[in-house]
Amino acid sequence: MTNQIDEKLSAFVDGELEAAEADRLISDILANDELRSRWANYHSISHSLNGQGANNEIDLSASISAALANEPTVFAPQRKKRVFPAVLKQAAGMAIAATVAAVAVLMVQPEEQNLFNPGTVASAPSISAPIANQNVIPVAVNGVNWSVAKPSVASKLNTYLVNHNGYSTPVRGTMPFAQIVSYGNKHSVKTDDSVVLEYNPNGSSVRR
Amino acid sequence: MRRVFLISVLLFFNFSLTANAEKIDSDTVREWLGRVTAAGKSLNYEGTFVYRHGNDMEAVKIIHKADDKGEHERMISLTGSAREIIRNNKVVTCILPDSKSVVVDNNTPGTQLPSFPSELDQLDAYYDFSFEGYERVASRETRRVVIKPQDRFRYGYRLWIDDAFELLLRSELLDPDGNAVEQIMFTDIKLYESLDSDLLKPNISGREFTWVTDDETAQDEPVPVDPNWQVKNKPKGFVLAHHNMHKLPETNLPVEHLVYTDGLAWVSVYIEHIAKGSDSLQGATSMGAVNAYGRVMGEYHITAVGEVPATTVELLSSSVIHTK
Repeated sequence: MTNQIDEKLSAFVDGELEAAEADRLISDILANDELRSRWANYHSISHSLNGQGANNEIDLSASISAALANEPTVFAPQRKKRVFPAVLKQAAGMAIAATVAAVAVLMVQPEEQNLFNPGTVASAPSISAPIANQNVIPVAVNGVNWSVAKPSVASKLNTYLVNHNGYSTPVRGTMPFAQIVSYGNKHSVKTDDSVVLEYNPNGSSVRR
Repeated sequence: MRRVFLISVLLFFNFSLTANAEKIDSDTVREWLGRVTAAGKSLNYEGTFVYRHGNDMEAVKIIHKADDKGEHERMISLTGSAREIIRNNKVVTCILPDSKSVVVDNNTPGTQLPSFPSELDQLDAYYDFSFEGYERVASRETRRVVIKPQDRFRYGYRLWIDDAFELLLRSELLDPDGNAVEQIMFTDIKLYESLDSDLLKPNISGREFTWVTDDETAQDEPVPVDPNWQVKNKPKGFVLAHHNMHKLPETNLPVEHLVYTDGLAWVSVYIEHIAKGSDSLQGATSMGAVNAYGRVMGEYHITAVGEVPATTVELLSSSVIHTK
């Protein structure tokens, strides 16, 4: 039994578990403390989940009150108040979707930009110089990519998508940068000559 | 006083939201989401969340601190190569231990996001909102809310909101058949009265990249839009939220950009003059939950992109017209 679950966890972490089964496992993980800690162990993260920084276990009432104080309209329904825009604009908060759409990894073309050459880095655009015109090829993150044959087409779609994300404000909560962080080697597209980065909350400028 | 307020709130929830799959109105959902936003910004917490898309799964640790200086956040990748993101208000630093990389910009303007079109008061006209009861996520009690589209032109959402703190602990993006396309969930979360700043310091070394999200970025001179570009047939409820012109980084050619939203779903339509030798999307494609549809219209190439079902981008792309 234990072995079975371990196998499932392993397959799940490696992305090899069939979807319906993964759904079941996720529900189990979320509902079962023991399974969750096993999952955590699987990632060797249990130590970081326990205790670190747990210096002030929260005082519920005080915190809730504080949260409420910050959002006084909460319990006094105001029919006409449109809250969505505020929610949706929270690009920098947790209340924005970390969708694949929220991120595109941009692959630099070294042969054209020499961005990976240290000398070039030193003379890279200053903080005030936008790099809008640099030739970047967006690449999908998380191993997901456009189902198109030509890289140039995928590239253009990613350009659109990144731009689109500066304007759209999806409702699901989550962290805008999650996908950068979770961008892993196993998914990378030629890490040797490539990589990284992207996200653009709120239509902001991304710079080095 | 605050405590009394709180108690009455909890009573409100207990008495009014006990039935299974109780239909709730969009205003209630708006309020809840408003609180979710506030909670995500104002609380101190530490936790681990899992992002799942198809068969890909990633685990990320997050530490979020809010104080009088604003928001501070650190995210650490627990799967794949170690990466960290440190955010201090608008300044974001990305630490990539193994990379030779980085760069970016995309040319999205530093302007405010579109104001919400006033026609969007009627969200209930194309979504059903229901409260499905209480459920435990990461050992915490949550309220489960479903936002279900009434047609096949938009995705739905299932949200698990922490009953006490209003943090969003789990979310799913649902296709029109109700299947989860994408999921994000906390497997562990702890809330704190305050957090030590040391916890927000990176513990890996590597090349750092910082990008500043100020809104003062010098923009290219604005190019006037052509109001004659319009989308004739839109799914019910979609309205134009934005219409502008930009130069996208890759081509540096001007692109007409129309943004449509029903208040929850967003779709962009890009109209570009076809350049010699350039490749463009013909027909449908997708990346995860994002769909795109491209076609040629005379000298122009039209692409619709958004986190909506394939039929929606096809409809929007296909019904672009130029009126004169």
